[in-house]
Amino acid sequence: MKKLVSVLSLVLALTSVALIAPAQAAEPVALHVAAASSLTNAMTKIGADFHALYPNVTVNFTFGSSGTLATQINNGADFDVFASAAPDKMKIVKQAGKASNSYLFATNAIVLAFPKSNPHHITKISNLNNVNIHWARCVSTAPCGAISNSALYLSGVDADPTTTGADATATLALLTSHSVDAALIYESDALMNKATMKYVSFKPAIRSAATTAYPIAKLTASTQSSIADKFIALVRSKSTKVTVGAKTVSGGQVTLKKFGFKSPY
Amino acid sequence: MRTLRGIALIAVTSIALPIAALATKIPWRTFGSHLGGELGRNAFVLSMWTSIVVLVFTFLLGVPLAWTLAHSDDSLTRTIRAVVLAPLVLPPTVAGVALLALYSPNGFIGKYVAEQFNVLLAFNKSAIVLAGIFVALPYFVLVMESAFRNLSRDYEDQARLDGASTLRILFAVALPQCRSAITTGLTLSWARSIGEFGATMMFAGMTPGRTLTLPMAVYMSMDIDMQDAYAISGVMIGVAVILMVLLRKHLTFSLTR
Repeated sequence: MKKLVSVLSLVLALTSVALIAPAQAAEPVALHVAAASSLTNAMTKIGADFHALYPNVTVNFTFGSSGTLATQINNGADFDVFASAAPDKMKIVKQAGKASNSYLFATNAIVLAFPKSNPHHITKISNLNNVNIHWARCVSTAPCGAISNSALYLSGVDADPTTTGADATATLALLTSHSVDAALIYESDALMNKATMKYVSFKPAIRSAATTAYPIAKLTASTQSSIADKFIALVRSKSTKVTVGAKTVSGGQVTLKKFGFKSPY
Repeated sequence: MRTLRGIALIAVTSIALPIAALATKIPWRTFGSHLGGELGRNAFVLSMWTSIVVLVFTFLLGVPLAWTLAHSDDSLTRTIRAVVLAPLVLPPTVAGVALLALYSPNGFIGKYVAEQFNVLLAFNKSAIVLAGIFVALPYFVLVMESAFRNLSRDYEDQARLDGASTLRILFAVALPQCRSAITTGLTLSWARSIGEFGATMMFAGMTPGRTLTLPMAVYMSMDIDMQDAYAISGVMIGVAVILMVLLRKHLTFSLTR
């Protein structure tokens, strides 16, 4: 009898726990986003905001050189969304049939950044012709390198860089580690580091050559199509308040501006 | 025994299969056109001779160090050994950052050298060699110290009794007995330095024609044409295969004779 009572109590206890347990949350889901390395800080914030709106979705980012990411996507890498630092890398992905519609969501200009103390007295881009300045830019095969090259050429700088970084992040690292005296980096990175560095921009006439536009697209092979659409919508949203249920976050465009990007138009 | 053999087979295939899979992707028919042209050619030449320079320095620096470590047993020796073997466990990118901290134009040694001799130690070919020595030396010292310790002290003692200096003992008695170890050590070092990527990428830079080595050429060609990446990888595999075939009789794991 005692045994029966204890077994019944156990069953009763377990059943009550099951009944009063919180309602089953929606199935956890991961969204895989491939994004240019210059988008690291801004996209991480947007990803966190997206997770706040849709708690069952975790946004996993892979940041890297847009060209490398495009190659990986064309070789079957399992991403849902691609945010490129240049339209031509998105074109490569579209030509391979991996994406159809893309949307420009930000622009960024290359600037010449240097430490605040400015020991080499850099005041304009053409100062780079001075052999005493050790400077870096991105490799030519990365978007940041390609536009750096065009803008430098148009500015009459024919000096070679002391070294090159594999992508925007590596080039920024060369400057922040004081391994070089100056570097051609994205304005967004320079603004994020404005406590320790200053920068000069290319002349207005050349600025468009020094500016890149960022397209974002859902990849056709994505298994999370509707979630990918929602993520892209958040990135493109200009609203200061985006609300889902009880949660409110900033629109992606507001976040991107905070991180030093300019609007795509 | 069969279980052991089975596991051994799995171990072998875990190495052989990825290489075989890569081999199937190499564009054999259009191989020449996919070697990245000048980029690939320059990378090949650069990788070959920088790795040989690294080998020379590795031998010249590694033998005395290994000998010293093999002939002492105090706590200082143990500390030195730990320091020397550190690059084995350091991630290459960390090694790159460390090398930059010391040798870049604003680094402790780099600054002095730039000011006194107007010479750059980072972002050029010397950086490739410095990075290569940093990552390759530990392998050589590891193998050579083991070999020296395994030598019978009788020969050494006899030579010393006969009045030979340490240097003489080293060259006439010790090293000739360590031919296998030297081959193994140098092969490991050469392989490590020619394959060096992470440290070289940051410390030497990725400038084609100047500092772009074969591994970086593979990385960069992935942005241009994947076929190029496969072709250049094929070259590296080919070099590895040729080396293994040439050295097959000398690469033994008894470190003496």
